[in-house]
Amino acid sequence: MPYKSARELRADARVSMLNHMSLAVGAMLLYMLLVLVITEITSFSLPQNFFAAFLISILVNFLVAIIVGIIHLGLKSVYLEMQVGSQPKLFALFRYFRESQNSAVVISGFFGLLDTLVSIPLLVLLLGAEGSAFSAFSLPMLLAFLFRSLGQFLVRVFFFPAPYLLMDFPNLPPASFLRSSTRLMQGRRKDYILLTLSFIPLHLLGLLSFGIGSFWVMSYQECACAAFYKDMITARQKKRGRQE
Amino acid sequence: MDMSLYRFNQAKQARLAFLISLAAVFSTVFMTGLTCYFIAPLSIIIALISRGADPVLPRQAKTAVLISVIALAVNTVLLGFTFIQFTKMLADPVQRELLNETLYKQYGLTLDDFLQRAGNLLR
Repeated sequence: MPYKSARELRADARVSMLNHMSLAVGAMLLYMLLVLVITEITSFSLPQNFFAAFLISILVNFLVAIIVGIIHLGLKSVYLEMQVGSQPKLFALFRYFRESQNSAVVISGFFGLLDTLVSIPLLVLLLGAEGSAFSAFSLPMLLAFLFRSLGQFLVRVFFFPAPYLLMDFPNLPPASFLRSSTRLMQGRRKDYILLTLSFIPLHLLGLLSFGIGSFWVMSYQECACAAFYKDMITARQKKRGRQE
Repeated sequence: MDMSLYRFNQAKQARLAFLISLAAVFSTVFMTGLTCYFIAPLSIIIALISRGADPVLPRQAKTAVLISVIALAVNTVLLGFTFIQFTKMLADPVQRELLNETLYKQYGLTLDDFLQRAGNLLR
């Protein structure tokens, strides 16, 4: 199937960024702020008992992942709307609190569960290291962090189109979003990974600016992901049209 | 795609990148330190995004990238030079004593007190 190259997708992303720069960066800024506030609200002192502290951490992590996940679905929809040329609003970030709530909760819950599972080693180490600030930089902690990041990345690779499918087909049953996602990504995983990896230099530049530039880079990457999805769906529709 | 709107937005972002790169130069010259590291990469990122679907960067964006890279390099050299001078000063007992006296007059604490407190904070 004639798919666009990573270079063309990045060009598409830049065009949609140029047309909606303040919204693209503003939506990312608001999302990051909300994540920070939600994480701060839900961080409290845990009981001394390790098992109880572990259970509470897992539960809180899962609930936070669901709430943040619903906002993240809204964020993805903002970038997809930019990509298809419509005029999105900043408050579309909260669209799944009003519409398709069931599907949004199921999808966020699924991602939240996977996120919690890959976070377990890090949570255990963090609970064990409570009180000593510098043990956070130990090798096991670093490995647990890498395991978590890799796990989250793989989940994204396998189920990448799910948030966009929710916007395009809001009436589908939640399970079919996940099934369709894995089917759509067959043969496209490598391209998605390459597209994501191509943003590493820009992310390093963003880090150099102490994270300020990252708002632009993350928005750019989200636009590129939306372009990737749009291209994937367009190519499939063309193929189906030819077959008919 | 509305080309006139696209060109307008592209020029706007390239101009923004250029202005930020000038701010990076200003921060390098007048506030040598970390400020340039905040500003210059931002200018480069915005300049790169302003390329849009074109094969090359707009002229102003290209200038912005060049200025930002130079500002970053100069800032790093100046910081490195300052650091080397400071470590040389610390190694020289006469200059160290002079620094201790000056700081004691200004803050009521010598450099050694400062370093000891910083060490205690990190421990």
